[in-house]
Amino acid sequence: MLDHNMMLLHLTMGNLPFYISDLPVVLEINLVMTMVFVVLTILLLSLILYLRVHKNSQNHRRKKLNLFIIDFINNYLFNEDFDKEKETRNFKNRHLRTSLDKQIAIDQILVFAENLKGESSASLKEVFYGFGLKEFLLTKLTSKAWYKQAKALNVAYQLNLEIPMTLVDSLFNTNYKKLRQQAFLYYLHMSTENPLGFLDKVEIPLTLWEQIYIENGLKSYDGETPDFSKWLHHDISSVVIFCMKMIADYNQFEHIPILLRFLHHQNPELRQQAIISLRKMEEPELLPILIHNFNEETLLIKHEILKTIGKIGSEKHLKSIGKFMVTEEPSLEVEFKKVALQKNLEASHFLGANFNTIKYDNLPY
Amino acid sequence: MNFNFFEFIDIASFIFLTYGLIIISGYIFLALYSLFELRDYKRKNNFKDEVALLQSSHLPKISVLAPAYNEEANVIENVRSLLTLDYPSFEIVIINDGSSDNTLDSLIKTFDLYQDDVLYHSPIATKNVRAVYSSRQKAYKNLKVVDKENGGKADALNSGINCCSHEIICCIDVDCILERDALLKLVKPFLNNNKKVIASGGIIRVANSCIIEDGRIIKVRLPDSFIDRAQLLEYFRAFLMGRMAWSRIDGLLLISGAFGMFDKKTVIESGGYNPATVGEDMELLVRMRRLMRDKKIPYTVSFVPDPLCWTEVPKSWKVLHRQRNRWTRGTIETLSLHKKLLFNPKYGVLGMLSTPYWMFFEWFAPIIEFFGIIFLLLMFIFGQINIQVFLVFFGVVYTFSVLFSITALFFEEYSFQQYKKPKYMLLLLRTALLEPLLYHPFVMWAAVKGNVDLLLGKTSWGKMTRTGLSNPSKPNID
Amino acid sequence: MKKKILVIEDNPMVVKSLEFKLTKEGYEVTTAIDGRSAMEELETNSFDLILTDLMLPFVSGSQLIEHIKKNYPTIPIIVLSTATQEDIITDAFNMGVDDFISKPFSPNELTLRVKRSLGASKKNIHS
Repeated sequence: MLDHNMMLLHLTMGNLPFYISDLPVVLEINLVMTMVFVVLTILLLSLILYLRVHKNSQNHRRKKLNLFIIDFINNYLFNEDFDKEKETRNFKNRHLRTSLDKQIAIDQILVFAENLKGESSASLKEVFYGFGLKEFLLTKLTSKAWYKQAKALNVAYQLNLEIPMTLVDSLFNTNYKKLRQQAFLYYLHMSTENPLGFLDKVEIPLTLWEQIYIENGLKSYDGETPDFSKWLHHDISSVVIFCMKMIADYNQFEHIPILLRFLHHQNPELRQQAIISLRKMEEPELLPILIHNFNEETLLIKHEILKTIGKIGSEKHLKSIGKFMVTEEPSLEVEFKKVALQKNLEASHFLGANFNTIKYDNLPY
Repeated sequence: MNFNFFEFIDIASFIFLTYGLIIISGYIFLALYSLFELRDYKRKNNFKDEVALLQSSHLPKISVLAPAYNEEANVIENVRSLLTLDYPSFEIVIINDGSSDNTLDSLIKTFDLYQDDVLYHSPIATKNVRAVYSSRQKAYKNLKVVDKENGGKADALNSGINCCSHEIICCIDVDCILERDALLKLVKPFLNNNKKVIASGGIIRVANSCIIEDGRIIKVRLPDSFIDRAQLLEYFRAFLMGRMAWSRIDGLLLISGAFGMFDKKTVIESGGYNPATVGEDMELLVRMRRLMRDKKIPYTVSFVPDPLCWTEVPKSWKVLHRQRNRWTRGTIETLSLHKKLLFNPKYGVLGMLSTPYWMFFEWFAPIIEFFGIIFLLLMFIFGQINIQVFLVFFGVVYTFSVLFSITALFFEEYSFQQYKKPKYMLLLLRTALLEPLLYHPFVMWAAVKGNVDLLLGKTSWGKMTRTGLSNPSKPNID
Repeated sequence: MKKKILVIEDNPMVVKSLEFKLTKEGYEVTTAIDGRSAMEELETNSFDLILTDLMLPFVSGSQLIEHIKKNYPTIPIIVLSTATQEDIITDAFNMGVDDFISKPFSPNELTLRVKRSLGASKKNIHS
């Protein structure tokens, strides 16, 4: 289409000179383009109309089928006179024909699973299998489209469905973040004793978002809380950071000695997280080490150290780093003064003698 | 003289064709890339599992910065609504930019504020800050009010950046309406990316005629008046078609001042908002990108298409004219300040695509259009074209504008479908048909006027004596 | 005579299940999908028990509970909600609700608690 235009353009150029009043080629181009635009507009309008009608009919189907399914499941769960096997077969044959139908059924079963627990959970699984939805789910899981796989995993862990672990294993390092995350969650929810076992297989960094999902998944994990120190020597630093966070969140005080060693780690990110975690656990041995290292630390970690003094330190600690304060780092000085104020101290008594107090207030420069 | 005139016509026709081709390729690029980006976004976000994350204590804390200038009528309600956002840990910083009304007093009274002599470091120079206030009441403990001398929106935001506590900042217009989960949605790109994210922006929706209760959109309605609807259509084109596509190739140059999230360290390192331009939102992002590129740090800018932020667009032609005039000046100022980027391969997409696109489509397009119309008129006067020829030229431009709008409508239908009533669709279609005739010439004129004003230097944008802060969102295409 | 229960809940699945289960157990069940229609029901009919969610459209659960406690103080209230935060549960009890069942819930346990609340309220009235 574009090439065609270019050709016409050359034609135009070839006809030079010409008058606007007899410009057949330029006019022709314009007329053709106008028609193309009109046709495209009409096409798009029909597409909009189609989308509308399609969405509406899907929604209509969904509404109708949802009522049937809710009614069916209620009978299945609460009606003792219900012939489960026969009715399930009937329902499947009568109502679950298209893949949209099956998808609606899955969604509705998920709503039930979300709201009911106890004896109902097992029954819901029966309904799921009875409707033949397991097969439907497996085709999705083995499909090439990542979003279908992710959806399938999501359903699987919400309903506690067993699927071959080999299918999940390969997804721990996929570049499709949503898929990777669902794979983690599947592993976590299905595991009986090692919910974080997937971390052994992780080869690309965990994003903070993934870490929060894992943390959230752990909250609803019924088994014993994992020993997070297992992955403190993982090759991926974000895995280590995640475990340090969890050690503090779950108060695994027995791992404090390992965390203390991280204060000397060469990676500043790991040092920083170690400080944050130890501060949360209010470890008394933390401050002497930090103060000893203060002068060699990065600006970011110096801030963390000051914050730590503010939280769990004393006048003595503040005093001992006062001499290392330099004028070039005004943000640090403000932090220092804040901590001093918090401890009801006059900051100027602690700062080095040659320390020029810079203006940290808000006057225009 | 005649000879010269015809040569001129030849050149003009050639320019017309070339320009037409560039615009059509631009259209194809925007349409295709937006389609892919929206499709991917939908696929990634049809899981309803994110609400649970709001319980996490490891989500980064966010400072929401909202400048207020003579907002006494609405500021209380706006702050109340902001305080009910759904996010585990955030603070609201309202910056009273030297209002001459009772904005500050009513804030102090309503929220039981006291002068809090908090220490903070001010890495960015700003006009004098008179005081920082906090609330005595626990319910408002995450509210902070900064009272400062008038310095304009950019200056107000800068002082907010100086004294806010958290590392991720969200800059908003105080009068915009945010969805409850807006912060979580906008912060997600920062957390779920292998590259460093320096900013993320959201889509701006038109709130005119919507039913609003307690600072929430209760019901989405299509605006009643033509001028509002024409802007709505423009926003669809700009956000659903424009920014989606640019975001896919990481070439976004603008995150709306009405709703954007930034990495505070990078903002400070770039020097904060520039108070000397009227296009401070665009200028900041361009400067931040430049800094990252110069330092050779891999980074990205993200865009979230969910309808998260609703704002009232100008209802009168006069205000609209003023707004578009300002946007034009902002664009030109930004492009001139960063002309080093233009066609500079060192800056990649930014230098070779984004900035040239802005120059041709945002800056030059209205001017070329304007002269095109003058040209056609001249031809008429000199008797060089008849009415048929005129109609043919007009037809191609008109049908293209309609096609563009309808494509944007298609994206709306495909993505979020906020206007569900069939009546709305028909009204939007009518708007799309009338807009090129009744609305577009007006904004084109406002843009041309912006150019003229900047050339003559007769506006006082340097001093920024503004009447209000509402400076919503700038769509980046026309 | 059958005991009358008003169920206020906006999730259609939960409403239907509760209606089904409680009807099977021999109660007369009326449903309302939001706070507003619940208030209308309360004006026209009398109930022996109210089962309500906290997250409701138009009138929030807590506003509704306040309204009920003020105007119909003898009707026992059971809250059925997803809230896991302790302060929300404490707030509910402070407002005078009789029981709190968190979602996901076990239908059998729910019927037991309904029975218990109805029994307890009878005792209250007699004493």
